[in-house]
Amino acid sequence: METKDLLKGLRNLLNEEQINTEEENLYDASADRYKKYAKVRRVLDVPMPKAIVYPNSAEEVSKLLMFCNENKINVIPRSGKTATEGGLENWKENTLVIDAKNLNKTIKIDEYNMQATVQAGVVLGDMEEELRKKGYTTGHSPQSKPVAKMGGLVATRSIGQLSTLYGGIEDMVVGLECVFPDGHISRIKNVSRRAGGPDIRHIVIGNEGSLCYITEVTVKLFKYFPENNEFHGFLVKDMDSGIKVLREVMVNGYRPSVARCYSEEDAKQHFYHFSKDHCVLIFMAEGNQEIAEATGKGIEKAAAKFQDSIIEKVDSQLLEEWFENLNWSQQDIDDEYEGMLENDSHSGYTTEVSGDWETIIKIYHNVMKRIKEEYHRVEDLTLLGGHSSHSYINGTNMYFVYNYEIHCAPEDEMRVYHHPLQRIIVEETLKLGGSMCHHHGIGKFRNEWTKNEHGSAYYMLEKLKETFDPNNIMNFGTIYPQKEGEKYQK
Amino acid sequence: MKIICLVKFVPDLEKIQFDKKKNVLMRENARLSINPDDETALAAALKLKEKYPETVIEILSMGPRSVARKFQDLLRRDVDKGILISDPLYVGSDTYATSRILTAYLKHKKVDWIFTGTHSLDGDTSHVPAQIAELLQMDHLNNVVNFDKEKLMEGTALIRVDSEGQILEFRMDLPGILSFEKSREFKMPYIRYEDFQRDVSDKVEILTNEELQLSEEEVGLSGSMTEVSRTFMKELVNKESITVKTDDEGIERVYEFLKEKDYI
Repeated sequence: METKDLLKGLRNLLNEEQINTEEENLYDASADRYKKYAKVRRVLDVPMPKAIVYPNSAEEVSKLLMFCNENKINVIPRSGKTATEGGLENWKENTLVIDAKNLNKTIKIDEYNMQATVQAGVVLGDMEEELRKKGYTTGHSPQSKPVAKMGGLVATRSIGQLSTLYGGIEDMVVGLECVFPDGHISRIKNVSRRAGGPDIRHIVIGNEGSLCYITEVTVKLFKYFPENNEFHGFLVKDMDSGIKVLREVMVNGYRPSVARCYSEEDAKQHFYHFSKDHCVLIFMAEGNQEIAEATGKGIEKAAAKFQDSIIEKVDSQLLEEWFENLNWSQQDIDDEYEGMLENDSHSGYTTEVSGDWETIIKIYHNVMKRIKEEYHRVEDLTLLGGHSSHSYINGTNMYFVYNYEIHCAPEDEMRVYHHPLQRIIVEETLKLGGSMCHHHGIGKFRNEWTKNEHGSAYYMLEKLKETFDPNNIMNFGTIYPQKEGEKYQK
Repeated sequence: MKIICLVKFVPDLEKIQFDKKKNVLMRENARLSINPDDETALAAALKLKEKYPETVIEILSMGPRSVARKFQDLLRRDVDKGILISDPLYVGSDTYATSRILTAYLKHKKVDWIFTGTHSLDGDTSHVPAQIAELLQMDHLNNVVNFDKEKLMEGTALIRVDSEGQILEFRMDLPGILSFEKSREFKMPYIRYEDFQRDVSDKVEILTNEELQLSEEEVGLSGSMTEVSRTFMKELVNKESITVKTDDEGIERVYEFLKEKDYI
């Protein structure tokens, strides 16, 4: 379809001010934070979308999707623009970005039933601020909270820093509204629990815009007791010991909101003022006073059981200060972009995986060993470490972090640095039965391993795509591997 | 036209260790990177070669063999040859002994220009280029910021030099030594993906004292005229920590503190 025909079609559906064809905005919409360095250096190798549109309602989304479906136009659903895995990167010449900017209304804060309904474009930070004034919280606190929007958070199966208590977004979503490529609007009702067949929320949560467009979500509310927060921290002799303490806390039924263990290298970048080159273990206990106190005692008891591994306690005031400055804002993102313009460097990359308690530490050691032995630019690494930051009764995640001196052209950075490192992490994780994608989503650059990630269950994932998006117009290349997109991956 | 670029690999100053007994820097285990001024010098040479491809660029460095990989990265740009001088005998050499060692190689070479940096991050004396110029009886200019490429290729260069904030222009005939200061004008080209794993070992020559034939008295600590009478490590003192919040009171307190310390 010719661009002029595409734009003409859009003008039949929307007002002029809902259609954005500004070159600079289209360039920005070509890629997300995954290719941040190439993007800021203006060397992106992907096509620009033809337009960004801002629907005002689910009905308008429906009309847009039907138009795109009929004309085989690729659609990138966007809400918040904080994706880190290429989910918002464009791989098709004919692409429309549907942005939830105008879907920005809070529909209902239902204090008695402890749930709130908002449209997809509501900023989590704004929602949280509103709720806290009333004494509530969503319990969802990703680092991107000041910028991320509810639709995007649900679409990417996001997780927050307090997940060990509140869960991931999938534990918070009560119901939602979404629109499929054929224009059908589905509303999943808000109930506390039901056995009405498979839980269809999970077809939508985490679909990364590859099946449908989320227009509205209802999430649970929790009472907010910041005055009861307790911080507990320890320097530990190694990651193995730290993970054991985390496990001890979790298997005894405690649910600290923050439960983290940092490797020496990673701890040094976050806690340079007190880590003393050791691993750092930190917890935050929260909730009503009785629960916070009991959780705090449980943490101390677990640490006491492994006292031979504990080097020293950390002043809780230091942890509180760290916690209060954890989120990044639009200003931080802009500052990083400025820095990348000035220097051949950025703030590094991460790859987040998960596994059971027994496996995660093996993955950690295997990855560290393999990178040090095999990676051909190992001398360029300025940071290589990891931390566990989201724990469950049966396991935890591992957030591998790495940074490097960049000696190649910006357009080569991924294949020289991030991709070989990511490959080692993913391969070692899948080999031991872990998951290659704990909370960032698959995006477009781990789709090579989607089949491996799901094994025989990939059949189900594939059928979802065939059923809901038979023309393959939804976010081409995200989650599902595409031969045509490989040229942008290598 | 042949240009030899003198480059030095300098340690990460935050992580460097000092041998208190010998009063020398321990370079073997430190993370090294190319000295920024030397990088500018090499970038200037590469820029020249970009315009005049017949230019031959050789890099000359002295240091531990652990720099070999970093050294090879330089050769993956458009550098023709790399000479690494490395011998345990040379450990502890001061700037004069270093100049003598580098000159032992350079004096046998036909070279039109020697490019290098003015300052080095770890020493910062700016002695070496001037001493080599003296030993080779060549003209030398410090703090070079730019030059006329065409004239330089013709053999008489117009060189712009930063002299305490003023830019002065000098004329200089080859052969000569130009010491550059770090500048955005000359940026090292990136290594392209295809070249990252290219084997460049055939371009590298490692020289030891066996080839340079200097006496033990001329090099290392015994050949150094500089005697360090006393060194000390700066002791870190625990200071009282004050935590402020990001409110008006906190901002005011930080502002007053910075003002008191003359930062603002």
